[in-house]
Amino acid sequence: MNASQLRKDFPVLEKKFNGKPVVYLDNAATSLKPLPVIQAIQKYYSEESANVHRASHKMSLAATQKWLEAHEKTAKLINARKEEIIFTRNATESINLLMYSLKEKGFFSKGDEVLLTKMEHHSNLVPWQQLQKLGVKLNFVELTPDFRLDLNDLEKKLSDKTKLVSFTHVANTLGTINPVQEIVKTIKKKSDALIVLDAAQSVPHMKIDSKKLGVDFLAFSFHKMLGPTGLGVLFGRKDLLNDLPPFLFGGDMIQSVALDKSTWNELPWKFEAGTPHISAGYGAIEAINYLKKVGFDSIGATERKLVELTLNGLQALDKVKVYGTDDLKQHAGMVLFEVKGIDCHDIALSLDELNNIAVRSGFMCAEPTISSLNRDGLVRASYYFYNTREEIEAFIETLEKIIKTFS
Amino acid sequence: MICLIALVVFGILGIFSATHRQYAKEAFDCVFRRMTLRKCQTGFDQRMKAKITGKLMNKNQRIAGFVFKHFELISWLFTLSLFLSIGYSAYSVYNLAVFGNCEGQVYSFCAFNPETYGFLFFPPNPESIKPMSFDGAKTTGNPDSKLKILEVGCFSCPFTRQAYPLVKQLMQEYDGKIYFGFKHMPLPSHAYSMDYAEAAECASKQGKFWEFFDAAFTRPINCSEQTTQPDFRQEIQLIVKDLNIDLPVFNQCLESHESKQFIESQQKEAVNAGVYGTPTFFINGRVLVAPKSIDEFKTIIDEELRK
Repeated sequence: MNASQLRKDFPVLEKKFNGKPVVYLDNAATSLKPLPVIQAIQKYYSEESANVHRASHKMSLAATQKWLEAHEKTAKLINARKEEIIFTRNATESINLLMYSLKEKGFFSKGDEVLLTKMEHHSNLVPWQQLQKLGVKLNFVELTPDFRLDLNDLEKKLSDKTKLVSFTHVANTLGTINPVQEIVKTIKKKSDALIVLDAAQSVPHMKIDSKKLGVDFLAFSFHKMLGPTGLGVLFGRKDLLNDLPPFLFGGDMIQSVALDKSTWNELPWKFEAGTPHISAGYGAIEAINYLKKVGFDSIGATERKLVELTLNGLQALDKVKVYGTDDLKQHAGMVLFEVKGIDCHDIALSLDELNNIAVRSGFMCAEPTISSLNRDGLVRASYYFYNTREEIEAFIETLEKIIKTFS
Repeated sequence: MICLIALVVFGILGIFSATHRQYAKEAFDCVFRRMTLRKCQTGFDQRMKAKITGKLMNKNQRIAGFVFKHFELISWLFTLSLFLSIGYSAYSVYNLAVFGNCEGQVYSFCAFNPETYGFLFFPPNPESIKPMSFDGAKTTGNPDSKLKILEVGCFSCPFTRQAYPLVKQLMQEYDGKIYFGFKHMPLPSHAYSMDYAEAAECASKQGKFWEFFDAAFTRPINCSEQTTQPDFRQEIQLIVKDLNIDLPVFNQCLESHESKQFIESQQKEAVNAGVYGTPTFFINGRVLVAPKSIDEFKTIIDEELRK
């Protein structure tokens, strides 16, 4: 299926500002939503609109069925069991859930270590920072000069005190695709630390097999993969999840409740307290269906072409510096750059003002990573399968005009 | 500083448009943060910069580039201009409230009077005023005196009124040494200025000009209190009632406006000479505009007497 056919499914792409179409290059922040997703959400509110796991009337049963289907489809997507799929609000909440549950279990003690990397999104950094209050030490894997994880440094920093290693599959800034299986192998050779993967930028763009990857937990969000906002996933190995205490307490996560004590529901409901984001579940099903229709191979190929086009275009421009690995096989569908002498926000705002080109500027929720490259922030263009060659050309042309005018 | 200008502009536009109200709120937040020495968090200032330079880029890239590079300076200049124009407007409103006209003590720039806009760039200069002759002036004193003082004034003007005691003091101190004359320059911005001048001419026809002159400038009244013609008429009757003149003839003279042409000719003569405010004094041809103290007169008078 080519991009121009697929684009018709995205109503936002029909939108025009000042007579010009939108050029959406901020997919790493959130993706656009196709009609089937939008219609599914609307269907829930207009035809079903009941709560799940509560009543026995047909509307509630229908909603519950769909909610279960959402879990099953998600599990199938990443080769997991449905009990291993916990729905949260987003990847950030998924990682927080894990952190709090581990803390509550008493998993960490003073002197323990947690190993992270220097290319993490805040959602996979800030929650772990809270463990420092318990006396846990945070260590960080360095980056190589070409912006990949230094695996030698990773090995060096693993110790018998390392209780948990958490790293990103695809960096949301540099676009580096980390070799997860190789990293997991290295960790398991030296340590029995828990392995957590931030898959927020990988699940939307490539086929993920939780079993093959060998991680213990992984987190992602639906809104970056054509789905609605407000729904995220925490995958966790069943045995580990069974061992963890709940994060939130209340309705649905219980099996029985007395005045002075309660027992917990089975997985995954133990970790899904309260009324969930049911309509998002409807949308999530359609998002997964749509992604399967497009095909991850096609998605990967399209994004690689767009990145190559962008890199060639930016290379020809004055004063532009690109950050990221040169190896396109390890470079996801995004490009991070700066223009010497022009503030990143001026670039982004001008791109938007001139030709409705939406990019991200600043620290991109990864302040340590970005500020180590440019303390004022950088610009990122991030792609998905519905972006076209023409859009990239418009982006490069407009950027060239901005550089010529403002320099 | 763009936020400050944006606050004023969008604040006014926001009265009529809901879209602009949101911008006004953001501008206010930005200004408040900058005033409390914090960074503007909404990015409003950067967005405005991008909007302005973006629009310019579509028209002229060079100008857009210039504006972009010097945006902060240009914002400061606009902000300064904003404050200056607010200041000038406030000054004019103050003059209007206190003096009854917005030109203030000296006929100069006034935001509410388009005739004075030229003064913003070319402030009035007494040295540019050409001497006026005594021809047609109402005179008193010895025409052979060494000191010849001609006043160009307006009966409605509070500054001509303020100069009256100085004129009286001069006439007393230099008794017999001054040949004093008066010519009309009724200012349009002063209420009933032409009517007062006509009344003075009508009194003059009965030989009572200087009596009218004294009575008009010593009556304890502000010309801005005359809000209607009947009030003015009443005021004139009160001025002339003790002048021992034939009132029906005087009133007939007023009704007929027979002196108007004569007064307008003196007004035109003053304008052509470059007189820009009242009172303007010519002391042996040397110009003194709206003096505030007797010393200003004496400086010139003493020099002339030494010649």
